[in-house]
Amino acid sequence: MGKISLNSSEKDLRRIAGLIADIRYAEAPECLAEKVLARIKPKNPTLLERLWRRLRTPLSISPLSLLPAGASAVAIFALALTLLWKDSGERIVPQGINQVSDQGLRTVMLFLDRPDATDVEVIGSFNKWSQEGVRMAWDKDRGLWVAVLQLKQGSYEYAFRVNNREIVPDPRAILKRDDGFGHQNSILIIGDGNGNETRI
Amino acid sequence: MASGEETLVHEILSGDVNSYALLVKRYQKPIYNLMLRMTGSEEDALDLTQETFVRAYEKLEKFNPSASFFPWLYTMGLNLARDFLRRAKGSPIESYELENSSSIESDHDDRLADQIDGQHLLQALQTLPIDYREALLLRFHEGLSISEVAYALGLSVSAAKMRVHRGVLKLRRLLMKQ
Repeated sequence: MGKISLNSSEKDLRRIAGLIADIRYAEAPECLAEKVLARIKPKNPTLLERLWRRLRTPLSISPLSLLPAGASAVAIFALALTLLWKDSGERIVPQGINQVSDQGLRTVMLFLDRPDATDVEVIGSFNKWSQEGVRMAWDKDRGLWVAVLQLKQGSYEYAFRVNNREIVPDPRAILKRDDGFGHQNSILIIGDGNGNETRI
Repeated sequence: MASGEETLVHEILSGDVNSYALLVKRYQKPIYNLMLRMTGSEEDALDLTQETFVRAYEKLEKFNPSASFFPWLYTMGLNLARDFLRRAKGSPIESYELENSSSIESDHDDRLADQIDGQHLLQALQTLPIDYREALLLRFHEGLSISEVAYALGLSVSAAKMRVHRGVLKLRRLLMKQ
């Protein structure tokens, strides 16, 4: 096969396209997402709107959905038992914020991947940054530190205190804010609990 | 559509503002840089970027979730920036129209490919008319398809293809002058 040779004009055009692709953009200010979120309110769709959107959203088919209804119910129950309960009665809820109590409190699970740590606590604005944080439990199965909080609707700042000295932000948190003392706090926003799942 | 965006949009419309934070994080950089190019001011760029995301959130019900979010967002940002410049009576970024595109093809030799670098390219881009500059950046920097460029800039597909092609030729000519 003969070689394909580019003329000078084509070479230039390709070079220009390559250089444009390599342009380095300036970083957006850290506070941007936080400022945007401060200006918006959670949407509160009507039942009709929800139904309409549900109809327009393509359904994903899982093998479980192909089982007969009775078998599915048994499987779900067994799965729930496995996921939600551990030995010695310790309750594990799915990650995120997805349970609403009678008092309007939402159950929040926080995780930290620090297998080297011997002691981890969550500290934050939910208890006015009290020195006495919420102690996290080591979940052997997940290989993670886990904390379960019950919080009202609102916005919270928090951080993890590792081995009683090191303050670290939550690497899973979407939003962070400088605390003014050289650390970053993670931000957690809890919605209205109106049947809408809210994530960290 | 970028991975998971349809689900994110569904979650946002169901009341989950945190999912919107993910979209903001994903696209804040190109939108902020668009505003920097348009205004030349970090402060104005931050304000306009915020405004773009807030406006997009308010109009999200009108967005077709099976389409790409970024071109839709970009259109909104570009319109906001243009309104801002109109109010400010003129862009701080000087741009000049080149001669008719039929005269753009150059007789210059083939030394350009070795001479141009990123710095020259940036300077030349800033002197291109906005429509050409943005078409080139969307196509080659953001990696949008021609049909997405067309959507973002409110053009037909053939017009977008022409805009990109002419944009590269204009840029080449500018670079040769430097």
